Amino acid sequence: METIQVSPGTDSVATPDIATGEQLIAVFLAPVRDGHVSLRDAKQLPLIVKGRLQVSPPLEFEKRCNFLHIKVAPA
Amino acid sequence: MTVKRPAVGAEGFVLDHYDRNAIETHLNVVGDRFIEAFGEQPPYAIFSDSLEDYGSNWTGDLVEQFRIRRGYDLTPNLPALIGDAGPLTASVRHDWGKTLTELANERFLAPLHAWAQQHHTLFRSQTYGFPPVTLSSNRHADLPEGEGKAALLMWRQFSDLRWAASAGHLFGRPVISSETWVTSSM
Repeated sequence: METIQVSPGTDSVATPDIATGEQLIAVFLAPVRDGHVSLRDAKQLPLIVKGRLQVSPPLEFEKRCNFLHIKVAPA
Repeated sequence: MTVKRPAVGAEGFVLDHYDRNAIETHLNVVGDRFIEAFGEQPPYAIFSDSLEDYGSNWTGDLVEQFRIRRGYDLTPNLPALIGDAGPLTASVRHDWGKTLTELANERFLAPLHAWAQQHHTLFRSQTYGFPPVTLSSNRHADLPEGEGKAALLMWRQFSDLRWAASAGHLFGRPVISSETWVTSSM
């Protein structure tokens, strides 16, 4: 899992580099409360356009993006 | 994870225990070569060491298998595998573990047992660890095996050996073995 900070006003986020043998499974946007990511309020973000994850509407508060991806052994 | 103590040339990722093709490839490329070396006298048993594939928590078709077996989509529930994602967290984790167990049984242990039978040998197995197999996974082993850590406490705990012996009682396997060692420093 890879987590990045998403600042207020952000409307899109670059997806992480996916290396050979890796696969992006899902991306979730979760609010930060008292410095901790609140997974209870995590929302899956389905839309990726030109390598960027679309955050709509733009954020009003800081959130964290959790990129879930796996590494698999090359065939 | 990568192989802990690989033979020369075998360095790299541990095979995917939830992938039938990976198991079949390993049995074909490695197992068949070994068994052929025995000629007309197959070994008494083949052996699967304790499962220590830490971090083995995913496979290529896990989402699909989860939906088929558990009846709902794992993907939107993935945060539950990371931390507290709400009231469903425990049940999602349980369903995820159960799915991994079923896949390990069906795609790793069962094919190994079938391969042993095909080659007229027995399947001895230390069936515990990760992938998260269960006590009943030992039904795929002819010779359940545990291991003893040569400590007095092992006789007062539910050790790997007791796990294997319990499975033997449940599944009618009268022969239970133990990987046991001692140390001169005790």
